[in-house]
Amino acid sequence: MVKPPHDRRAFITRTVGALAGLALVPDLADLLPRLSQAAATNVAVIGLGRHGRAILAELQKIPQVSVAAICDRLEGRLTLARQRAATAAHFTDHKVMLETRPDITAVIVATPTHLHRAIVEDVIAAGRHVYCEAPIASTIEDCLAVATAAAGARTVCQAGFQARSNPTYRRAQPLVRSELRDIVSMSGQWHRKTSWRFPASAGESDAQASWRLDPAVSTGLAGEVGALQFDVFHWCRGSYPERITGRGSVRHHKDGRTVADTIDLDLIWTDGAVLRYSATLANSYGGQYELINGINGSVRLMWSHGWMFKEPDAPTQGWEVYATRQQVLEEEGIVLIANATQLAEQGQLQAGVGLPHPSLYYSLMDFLKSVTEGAPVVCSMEEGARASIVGILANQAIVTGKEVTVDLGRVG
Amino acid sequence: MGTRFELVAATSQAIGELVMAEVEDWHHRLSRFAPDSWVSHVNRTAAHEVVRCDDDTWDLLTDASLAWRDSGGAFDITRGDADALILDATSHTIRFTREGMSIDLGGIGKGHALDCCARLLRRHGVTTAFMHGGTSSGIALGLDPAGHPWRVSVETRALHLADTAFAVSDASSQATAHIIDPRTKVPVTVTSPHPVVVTGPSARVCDAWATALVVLGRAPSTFPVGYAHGETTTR
Repeated sequence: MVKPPHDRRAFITRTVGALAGLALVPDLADLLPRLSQAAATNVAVIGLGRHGRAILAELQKIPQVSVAAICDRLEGRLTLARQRAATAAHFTDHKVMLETRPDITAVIVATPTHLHRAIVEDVIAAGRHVYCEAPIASTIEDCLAVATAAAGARTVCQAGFQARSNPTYRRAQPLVRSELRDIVSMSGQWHRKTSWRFPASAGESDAQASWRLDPAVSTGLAGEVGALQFDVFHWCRGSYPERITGRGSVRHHKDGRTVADTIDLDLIWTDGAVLRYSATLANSYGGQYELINGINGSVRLMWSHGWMFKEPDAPTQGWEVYATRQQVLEEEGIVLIANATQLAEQGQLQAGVGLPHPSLYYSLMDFLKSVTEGAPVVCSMEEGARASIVGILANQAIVTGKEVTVDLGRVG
Repeated sequence: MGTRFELVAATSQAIGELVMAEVEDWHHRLSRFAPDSWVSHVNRTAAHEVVRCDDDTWDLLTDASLAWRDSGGAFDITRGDADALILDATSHTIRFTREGMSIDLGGIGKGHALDCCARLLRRHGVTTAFMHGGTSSGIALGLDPAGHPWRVSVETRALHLADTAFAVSDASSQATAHIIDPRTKVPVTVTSPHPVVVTGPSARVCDAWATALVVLGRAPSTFPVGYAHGETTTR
């Protein structure tokens, strides 16, 4: 069959008439944040798995940060991490590190989730600033304990729910409230083809290495991955779901595991809006995204990218006129990108799309700004506890097969 | 890195996934196209302030620098601006002395990722494995499961590799039309129907020299000891 020649004008007319997308490009100051102080801040990282090493790589970009110590109970992981922090002192016991290194100002905790509580409490008790990776704990009791310890702390305590620091998400969050109007529906997914199994290092059991597959300590896909995405919806909406239903099963990795490799969840808000969420370790199609649909449009967030798609009958805001048009998503046709021209002129952002740093960098920078400049904490442990508890309850809904009521009254 | 990596090894899926995650890590760090990569950070920042390197990245930059020196500039991550690149061996930092310059580790990044993967495999006790990136760079660990050197065919030739890396560069006119000689900043004109093949202990060094030999059209006197090269272009 001979295809008709591509009619670009008709294509543009059709797609713009249907839905126009506004790329959510944040301000330059948000994209390339800097610490104002000149003096170095001594930082320690506890937990040196893959994520801990990613943290070391991001810290190295910040000239005012000196990674003074690294800590992991396994020598093998310490050895690997030394390649990214050659001059740092190394410890296998965080208590020894805290006792012997009073010069360490701030501590980043990146251990497996179920080990967070004890370490965070020790760091706070030692009078240090603490950043705890998300989710902050694997049980409701531990979440409450971390939030309580942080509430009594005189130091900065930040939960690492990165979306709240991500410049694209920061750009989107107020627009969800101001532009979309009433929420119609929400959806999100995390799809990745991986086993969640990790080879054990010397001195470590297989169960310890693959702790996410141990139902005694793991909160599954809902708690370990979903909680970070659920928080995007909590933050954008300013509220939490009241009920959760869910299903999960082992669809692919039939290796004896009991933790589901594929889950589907409905998180239901009091106004009836539902967040449909799916996560799987069996398929990577579509990757990760969050989508919020309102009566005036939709916001789609994909970590480093974000777009707002206005309904044809939605009112046009003044700033939209100055947005640059660019084709980003084939299926959506032409999209508009705010600030792209300015960014391109300054050579700061290739094609006006994407972030110049990973999301983790912005989260760490926010923490360091709070530590060194007294900036407000972007995600308190109390907020982190709420988001973590929603993830834990979502996992309960999957494990029990029963509807779970979300009660966050004990937090804060 | 814009290509497919494959690993052949009698090991667990967990180790295989760990190795592929290592490739992804280096892709995210070394891509000059991804705005959030380490290389993009260097290219944005190093003209204004020094940028710190971790040990792995420092080793990569050091090998790139040695290949530049020994090839007389035929391999150059700055594409002709090497005089404006300062690598401080004491502080392990990188700095540009000129605004607007950049580095491109595309000619050495695949090999570097393979070297890091090989180290990871060995750390987890894997002694028999073969891995390649886009079929043009690869590394063999030990012997194949039958106890013979791993066999790689390049056109009509066969390489027999044991604990050895290799890199292949196409020296045909079609390929060299896209290779810029960093010394002259014009496309390479000397061609050969035969590809350049370099073997040696480090995949990233093989990568760098496979490119350099296409540009040079011959092996220089400073070609690294312990490396071998196959068919090369001739002037």
